[in-house]
Amino acid sequence: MDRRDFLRACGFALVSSAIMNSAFADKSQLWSKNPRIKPIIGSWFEFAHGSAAEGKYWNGALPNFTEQQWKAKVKEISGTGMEYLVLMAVANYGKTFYPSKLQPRYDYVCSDPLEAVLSAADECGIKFFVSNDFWGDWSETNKLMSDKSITELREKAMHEIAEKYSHHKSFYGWYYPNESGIWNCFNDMTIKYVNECSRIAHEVTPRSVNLIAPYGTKSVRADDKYVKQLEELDIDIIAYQDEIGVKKTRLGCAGEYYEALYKAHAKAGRSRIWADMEIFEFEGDVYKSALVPAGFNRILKQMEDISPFVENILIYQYIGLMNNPGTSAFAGHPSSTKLYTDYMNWLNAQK
Amino acid sequence: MLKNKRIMNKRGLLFILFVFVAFSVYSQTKWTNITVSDSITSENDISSIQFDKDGNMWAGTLQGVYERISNKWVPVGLPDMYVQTLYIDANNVKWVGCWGTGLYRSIDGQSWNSVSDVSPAGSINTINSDNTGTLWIGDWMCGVFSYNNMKWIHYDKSQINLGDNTVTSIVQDAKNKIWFGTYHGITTYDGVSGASYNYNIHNSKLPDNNVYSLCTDTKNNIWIGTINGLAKYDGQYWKVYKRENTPGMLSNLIFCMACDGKGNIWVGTEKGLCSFDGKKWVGYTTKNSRLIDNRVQTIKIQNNKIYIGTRKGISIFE
Repeated sequence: MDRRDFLRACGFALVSSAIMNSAFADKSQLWSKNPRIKPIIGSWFEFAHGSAAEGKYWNGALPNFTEQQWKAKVKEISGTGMEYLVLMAVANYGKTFYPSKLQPRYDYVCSDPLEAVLSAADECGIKFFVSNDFWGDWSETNKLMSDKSITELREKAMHEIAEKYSHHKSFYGWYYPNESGIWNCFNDMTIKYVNECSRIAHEVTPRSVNLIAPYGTKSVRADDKYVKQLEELDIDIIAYQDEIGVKKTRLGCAGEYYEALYKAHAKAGRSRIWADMEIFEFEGDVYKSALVPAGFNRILKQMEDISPFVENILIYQYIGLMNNPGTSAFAGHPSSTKLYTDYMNWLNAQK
Repeated sequence: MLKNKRIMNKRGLLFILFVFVAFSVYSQTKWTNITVSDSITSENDISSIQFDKDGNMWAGTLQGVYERISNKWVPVGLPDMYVQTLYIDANNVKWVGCWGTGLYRSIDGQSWNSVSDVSPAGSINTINSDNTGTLWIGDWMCGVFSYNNMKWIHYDKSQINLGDNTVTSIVQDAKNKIWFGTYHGITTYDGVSGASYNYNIHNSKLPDNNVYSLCTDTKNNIWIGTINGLAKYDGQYWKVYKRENTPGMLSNLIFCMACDGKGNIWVGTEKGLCSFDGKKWVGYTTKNSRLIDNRVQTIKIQNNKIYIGTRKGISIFE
C-alpha cells in the first residue's frame, strides 16, 4: 500500500465512519430490536384512584364510563399485547364498585363495571387478578390487614365476589391490595394477612392464582430469613414495586434489587417473581400531586434493567397513563396517548 | 502474490503497533481495587466515599459505615442501616443520611446520634456543605435542611423555587450560590438575597428534568447529570452531551460526577466511568480497564486519585 492508497483508505474509513454515525444517529430515533427486554405483559386496573391528588387526570372520567366504554378499555389494553390485569379495588371508603349486599355502591353510570370488564376480558383472553379489598379507607393499611371486623367483611366479600363473578374464565385469581411494605423482610402481620387471604381464596376459588405487590423492594435483605419467609408465604406471585416513579429508587438501580430477590425466590422455590413497574412520575411532589406518564425512554430503561430477573413485567398502570389515541374511553393525562404510541412503536419494532 | 504478502506484512505491523499503543496507554494508568467484604454483599455496595482529617477513607454502604484503617476496613457503626449518603465536614464530624432511618451524626466516628430535627420521612438523598461551613441536606420528599450555628432551617419549594421537594444533589458555585438538583430541574439559590430560580426542560436546554448529580468545575461551569444526558451551564450558555453524539460517553444515565484539579470531569454511569478533558471523552468499563464494576455510584477525588464507588467495591484510578 503506497501513501496514496493509505490516504485513500483513511478517507474511505472516515467517510464510512461518518455515514455509520449518521445512520446510527437517525436510527436512535427509532427503536431497535432487543430480545433481552421483556415487553409489558399486564397492568393494574382501577375504577377510581384512591388518592384524589394522584388520580387528578382520570378520577373524573371513570364514573361516567358506560358499560361499553369499560369493555372497550379492556379490549384496548388487550390490543397492546397485555395479557393480565390486576384490579386494584372492589371497594373503597365504604362504597363498592359492584352491586353488593355488604356496602352501598358508588353511583357510576355503569351499574356493574366489574361485570363489564370481566365480560370483555372473557372475550379477549385477558386474565384478571380480582381485588379482595378495600373494605375501609385504602390508606389505613395496617387497619385493613389486621382489624377483626374488616377481616370478617373481607371474607364475606370474597365469598360474594366468587359467587357473582368467578364463573368468568377471565377470573384468574385474587390480588390482595393492602400494600404490604417490606423493611428488610416481611413483618409477621403481613404474612398472617396474606396466608389468611389465600386460605379463603383456595376455599372459594380453588384454582385461583394469587398475587401481592409489596413495596420497600430497595430495603430487602434477601438473606436466609427472607428465604424462609418466602417459603412460609402462601402466595403464587410476588410482583415487587420497582419504585422508580415514587423516587425511592434511582433509574438503573432496581435491577440489582430484583437480582437479589430472584436468587431468594429460586432458593425458596415457592412464589414466582414478577415486577410492578411504575410508569408514572409526579407532576409535583411525591404523593401530593398528580400522576402523569413518564417518558418512554425512562420506562424502556426500567424494562431493560429488570427484565433479566423477573418472569413478567406488569405496570402501574394503563388506566390514566396510557390511552390509544383513537380510544372511545379516554381517561388520563393528555400525554398518555404519546406514551401509548411510543410503547407501541417500540413493541412493533420487536416483532 | 508478492503484493498480498506485503499487504499482510503491513497489516501485521499495524496490528503490532496498535497493540503496543494500547499497552502503553494501559500501562500508564494504574488501577487498584478494594472491597469491604470478600464476597458480593451489601457491604460492597458503595454509596459514598469520604476522607477524614487524618486522611483515612470512609465508605457508606448499603449495610453500614466503614473506615479504612491500616489497609483494613473496620465497621464503625450503623451496621443495619441503608446508607444513602455519607459526608465528613470541615470539623471532621461524620454525617450519615440513611434510607428510611433518617440522619445520624458522629463526632468521634464511633458513637452515632440520630438527628431528629430533619427529614420527617426519614430518607435522605444527599449531604454537602458550603464555604461558610453550613451543612446542606437534600431530602427524599421534604426539600432541604441547612445547619449552622447549632440551628436547623428547613426550606421547601414554597420558600425557595425548588423544582420539587425531592432533592438529589447540592453544590455551591464560585459566586456562592447553592444549586439543588431535583426531579423537576435544577434550582439556584442565593442565600444572601434569597433569590432563587428553577431551570427545567421548558425554560432551558436541560436535557431532562430528572437530575441525579451536580458538580462545578475549575472554570465555574455547573455540570448537570440527568437520566437522559449531561449538561454544562456557564451562566449564559448550555452545552448538552449525549451518548448518541459524544464518542466515548458511555451512557445518558448519569449517577455521579466529580471534577479533578486539572479540570477533568469524571462521570459515573450504569455502564462505566467516563472522563472528559474538555476535548475528548474516554470511557472506562470492566472490559477495557480494571474498573471493578460498571455501575459507578459515587466518585471522590483525593490527592489526585480518583476513587470510584460501585456496587461491587471501590476502584482507585491514578
